[in-house]
Amino acid sequence: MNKYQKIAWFNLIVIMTTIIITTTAIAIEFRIRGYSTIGLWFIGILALLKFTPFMFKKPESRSGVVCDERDSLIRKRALSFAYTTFWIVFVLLSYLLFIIIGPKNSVPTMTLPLMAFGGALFMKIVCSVAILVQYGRGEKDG
Amino acid sequence: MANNEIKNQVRRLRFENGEMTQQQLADKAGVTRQTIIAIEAGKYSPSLTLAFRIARTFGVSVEQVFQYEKQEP
Repeated sequence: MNKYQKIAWFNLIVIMTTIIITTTAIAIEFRIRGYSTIGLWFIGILALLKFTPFMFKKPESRSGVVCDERDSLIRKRALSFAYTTFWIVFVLLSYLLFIIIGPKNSVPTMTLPLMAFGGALFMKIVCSVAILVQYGRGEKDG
Repeated sequence: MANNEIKNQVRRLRFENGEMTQQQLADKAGVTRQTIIAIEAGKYSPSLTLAFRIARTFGVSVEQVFQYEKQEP
């Protein structure tokens, strides 16, 4: 397993853990108090994602090669796929919102920051999965 | 990424060169072992630069390592 695979797994584990813990905390707090404020603080676990550039630096071979042209290509394709998928989902959701709510109604101002935050998480998840899938395809023999 | 029209003799050449391991070839060519595995399996076509580096490692020409086989429709 090379650097990008480890980072992809790390990202997926951190994001999924955050989603599960935050959702559970909000649900429990909501059930007890009727509203939730503390639960949202668990989103702070996502700060761990900022440490990925400092992790997994150890080269897998004696020649010191951490990543090569194939790794860069896989990463570029994954980023491109994640970006394209994000825009498709973003446009579809915008139209869906328009259809559901209607042209004369409005959405809370919190919707935009939530969309930006959710979009960033979505892109990170799709990119990580795309990286793992591409590596999986090339490793069946060996 | 994969190009089935490009065949390669990397595995055969490794064994003809003192049973060179994938890791040894990767170290000499300056890539990871995973890339050598993908090339041997025909799942990744290397850049021209890497193709030359692999050929030079075996001391042969690029054509002796990689062959382009156009499939008739």
